[in-house]
Amino acid sequence: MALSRRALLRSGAAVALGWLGAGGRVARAAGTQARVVIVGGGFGGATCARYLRQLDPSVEVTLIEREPRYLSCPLSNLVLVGERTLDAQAHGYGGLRALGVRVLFDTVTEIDPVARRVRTAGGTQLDCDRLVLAPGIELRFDAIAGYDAAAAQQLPHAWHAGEQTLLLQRQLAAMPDNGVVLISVPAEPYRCPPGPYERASLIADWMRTQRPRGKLLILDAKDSFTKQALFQSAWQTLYPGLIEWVRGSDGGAVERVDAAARTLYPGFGFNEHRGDVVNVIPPQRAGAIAQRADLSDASGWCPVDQLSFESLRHAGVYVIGDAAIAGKMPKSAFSANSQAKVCAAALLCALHGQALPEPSYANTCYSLVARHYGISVSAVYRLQQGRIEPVAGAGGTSPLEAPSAVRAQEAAYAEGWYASIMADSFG
Amino acid sequence: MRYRPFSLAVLGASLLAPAHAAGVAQPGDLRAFVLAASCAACHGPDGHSPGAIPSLAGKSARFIEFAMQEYKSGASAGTVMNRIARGYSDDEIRLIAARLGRREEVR
Repeated sequence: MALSRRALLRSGAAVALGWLGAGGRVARAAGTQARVVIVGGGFGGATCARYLRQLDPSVEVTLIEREPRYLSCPLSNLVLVGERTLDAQAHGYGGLRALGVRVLFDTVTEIDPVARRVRTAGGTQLDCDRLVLAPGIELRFDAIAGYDAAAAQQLPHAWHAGEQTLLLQRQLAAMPDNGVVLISVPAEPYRCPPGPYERASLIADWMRTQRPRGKLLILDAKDSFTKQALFQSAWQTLYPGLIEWVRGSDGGAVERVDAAARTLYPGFGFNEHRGDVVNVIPPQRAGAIAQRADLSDASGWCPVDQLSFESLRHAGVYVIGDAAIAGKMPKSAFSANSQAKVCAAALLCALHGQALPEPSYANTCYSLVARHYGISVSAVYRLQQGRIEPVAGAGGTSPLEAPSAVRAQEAAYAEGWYASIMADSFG
Repeated sequence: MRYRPFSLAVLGASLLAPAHAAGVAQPGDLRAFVLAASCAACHGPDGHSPGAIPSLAGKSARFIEFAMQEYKSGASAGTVMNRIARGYSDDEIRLIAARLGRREEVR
């Protein structure tokens, strides 16, 4: 009975029976499938596509992604110091195709958020019942004077995994014995809040043996950062005197760069800093296509109903992952994966005219402070007065005091998490 | 005959749903799905972890509920699991365990 019911639901016949149209929210001819188009094949987009197809194989899911090979950011700081290859960061879309997701490698050039119509550079036009954008971030090349796309060829950001990662890797390898590394960190919100500090840690771990006379300076626009006590206590133990962190109010906020001179200038009254290797992580905003589709607000990010991730600007269009304003959730791969599942459930409820379930979201961010020294921060989230808030009394960071075996276990879990979330997101 | 638009039969196609899922439709299926879906990011799809994090696949619902309660109370010391388990009510833990766990059936 159950099986035949499922078989029936899988088929178009179920639509003819009327269940897809039960809520009357999606008008379409009997016998046609509900169509969802997802723009962006990172953690958010891939997870959403995968779970939609798993939850309801009757939905036609098309994922549009520019690159046939996805290069993921988590663990890419290991690539910088030669502990991991860039190829190990690469994932294809075969797993999604195996689930029946139509994967289209193309660049979206135009989105009509009212008609829910997508056009691509390759000349494809797609109409859909529900549109999901998971465009990730765009680096702002208008925020720090002198830091544009050309300057990034000399002062890499390495905040998208790929060529930029390899450029920073080469620059580190070519650095002189007493070289100075500068890392410029933006104010929040930005992708991967602990990422700059993990990066500083792993570079310091490499310098400790390879460039022991070198120094690493973090110029931070902020006055505090995530897992700060854990990072700083580990730095003191593992890399005494190697890493210096300059907070925003002490001249850490970089306002101007001179790319040719590899020099960063904080605001008036503070000294400039010249580095041998200069990593500028610039301020960010929602991926460009979200802005062109009128889904972002003055903040540069996309306001959404945090229960469903439906845009507050255009009904029937959803934004998930880094681009979305998702309450207190950090912009992380885990958050995007979590949001994508809540969004997939919300999409099916919308398509089937069902009430949305109470959502639940989670995030855990592992950071490597050294190759075998891991720390984490995690939270479980609920919707409270329309905002995603962490559950009080839960979550938090690794303990400040812990035996090295615990740090080693968390380092192993960091890589274990990566293996799991790749499988969960991409198949 | 009228179908529940969202039945467990539909969700039965989910990787997260264990083999017994193709059964009677119940309210709250999607709620259980959303709660339990968070686990997969670390423990792998369908509880099959390909890496260092322990798998949940094959564990009984009773075991998962017990382990979550032990983490929640602090009786068991984990790395992240104590912090995570405290984020869920007892009812939510039961829903998660029922969704992810193997049902102990009479064979």
